[in-house]
Amino acid sequence: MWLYIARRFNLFFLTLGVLFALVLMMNKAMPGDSLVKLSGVNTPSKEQVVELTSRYQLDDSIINQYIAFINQRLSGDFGISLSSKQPIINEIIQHLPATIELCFYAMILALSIGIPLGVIASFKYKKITDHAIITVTLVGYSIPIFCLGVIGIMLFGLELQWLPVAGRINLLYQVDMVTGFTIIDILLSDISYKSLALRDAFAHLTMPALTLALFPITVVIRITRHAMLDELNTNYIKAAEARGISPTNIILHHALPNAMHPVLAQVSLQLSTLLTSAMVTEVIFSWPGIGTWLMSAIYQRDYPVITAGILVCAIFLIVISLVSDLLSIVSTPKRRSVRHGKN
Amino acid sequence: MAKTNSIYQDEIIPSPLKQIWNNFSNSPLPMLGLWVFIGFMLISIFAPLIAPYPPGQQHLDALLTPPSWHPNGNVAFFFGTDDLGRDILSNLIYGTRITFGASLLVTLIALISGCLIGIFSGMSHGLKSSVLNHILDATLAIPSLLLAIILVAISGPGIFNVMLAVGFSLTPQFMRATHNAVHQELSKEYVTATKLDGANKFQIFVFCILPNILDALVIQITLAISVAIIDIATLGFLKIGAQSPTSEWGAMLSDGLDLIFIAPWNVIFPGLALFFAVLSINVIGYGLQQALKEGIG
Repeated sequence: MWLYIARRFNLFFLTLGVLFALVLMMNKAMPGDSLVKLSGVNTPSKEQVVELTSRYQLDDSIINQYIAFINQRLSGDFGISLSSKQPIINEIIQHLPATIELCFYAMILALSIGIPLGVIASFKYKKITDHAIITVTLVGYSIPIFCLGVIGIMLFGLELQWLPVAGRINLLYQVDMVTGFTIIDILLSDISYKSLALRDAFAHLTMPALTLALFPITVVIRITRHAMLDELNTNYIKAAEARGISPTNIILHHALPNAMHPVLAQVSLQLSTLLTSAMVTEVIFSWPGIGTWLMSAIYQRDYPVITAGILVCAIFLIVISLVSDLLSIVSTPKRRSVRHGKN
Repeated sequence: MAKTNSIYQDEIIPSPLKQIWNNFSNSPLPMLGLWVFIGFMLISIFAPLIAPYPPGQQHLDALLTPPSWHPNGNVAFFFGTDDLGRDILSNLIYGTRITFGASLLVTLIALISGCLIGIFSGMSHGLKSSVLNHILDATLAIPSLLLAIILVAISGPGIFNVMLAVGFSLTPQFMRATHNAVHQELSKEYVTATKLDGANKFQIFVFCILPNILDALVIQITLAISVAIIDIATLGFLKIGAQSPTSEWGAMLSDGLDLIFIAPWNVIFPGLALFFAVLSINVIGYGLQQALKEGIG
């Protein structure tokens, strides 16, 4: 197991290295002066040019530039934004929690709705219930997320006026940013209108989270159904059936725990789709997260911010895949022997 | 090998692809999806013959005409017109070429380039395979839509750049799928047997690997087409893809958003077109997966 974990970390660092190389290449491919694109200083003075050139090793070979780029970025210096002139790292810290919050609630929704439906579909395999669930899944899978967002805004936001259509919380409520997660911030704060603010924050969260969750829900249903069908076909389940254990007992205590591992592994692979869907959702609902920030950077051609945005998103995903891989290795001995020695 | 009209009662074993097709054509819903798919393809090929008006032609005397079944509608503009008097039906038909047709082209490009690299990395061993694998993992860590958005941001908007960007961002998935399929096939025993018989790498690839990875590729293709359609439309919706006079479905939808209260048909019809295009492909993909599962079992 330790050997495998060491190999996994090895892979992690190599992947990070390749990622930095790719991002540096993209940065070089963007139009404009390298110095400006890397540092974000729009009209540098002579001293700044000298200082930044030596910091990013721009006169040196491409390999030294690459090493200097990694050093800068890992030490937390992402340059400054061309449009707002603020250090990019501060903007990331400000925007990232909103995206994580949205993705987190969508994921919770997806797992808590998707897994039970997937189990029901597998239990009623090739019966009416199964067909109905699969049809609904296919339909949900085919609606582009921006169509769904627009329909939601039209119906619940404007027509029925049930839910607010933009932002994270009504501006009337003044909540200081501590962690960046609205709900936690409200709970931590000592305001007198706590419950009202909480209700407002949830109202703002409902529509974006539901919109974002639809796609992962369908994916979780499909994966769970598939994994459960595989599991229900195994011999130990048949043995359990033969011994007269009740179907509910078999599913809840035998099949489901074993089917959960492939489901969680697959779900962690789906996170990259979730992150991009979250970006589109943020743009539609003006949610002040990393997606809105990155899109406005693209409209304004703010290259240092674009570079930082890709790096942050990709590193986030690589770290999550590392963590989920490690968790699954530690919890399932089966995966160690299968994956070991192979790529 | 076996002849149908031979006097012996030979059992004809269909090839894997043929078997999948047999299973596939037995279920009605996926076949319906296939027909819809073919319909969209015909529309995109014969768009100039079907469309009542050329794309972008403005009828200044018929701005914002509702669909023809509405009391104020005009049958000359079946799905109504937008705020510049353009016929929505004609725009949708020409948009099929861009959103649907382009996504097919893009998938083809991604398929060819991705498969070549995937096969190369799957068939190689040791350091070469390991290096390629790490590059693959890193490119897969950047989500495809994000990669496409960034590439368009670098190269500038326009349908050609969008196609390049989406094609490039779909390639890693094909590489990964091909790589995994080849790797899985290589570790099977019949390949070892063929190796022992003295087959070289090329022969193993053509006779053992290729016929057996085709099914994995077919499924990956259907997935990729639906992703390509959604990506192209999303880029159009975010206004960094195909630019406004081009009748791309996502761009049409986002143009119609300003008028959603007075002319909801500007949003609904492009949305429906997108939905049915993606749905037909997903239904085909689902049918193929089912067919594959039954083929094995």
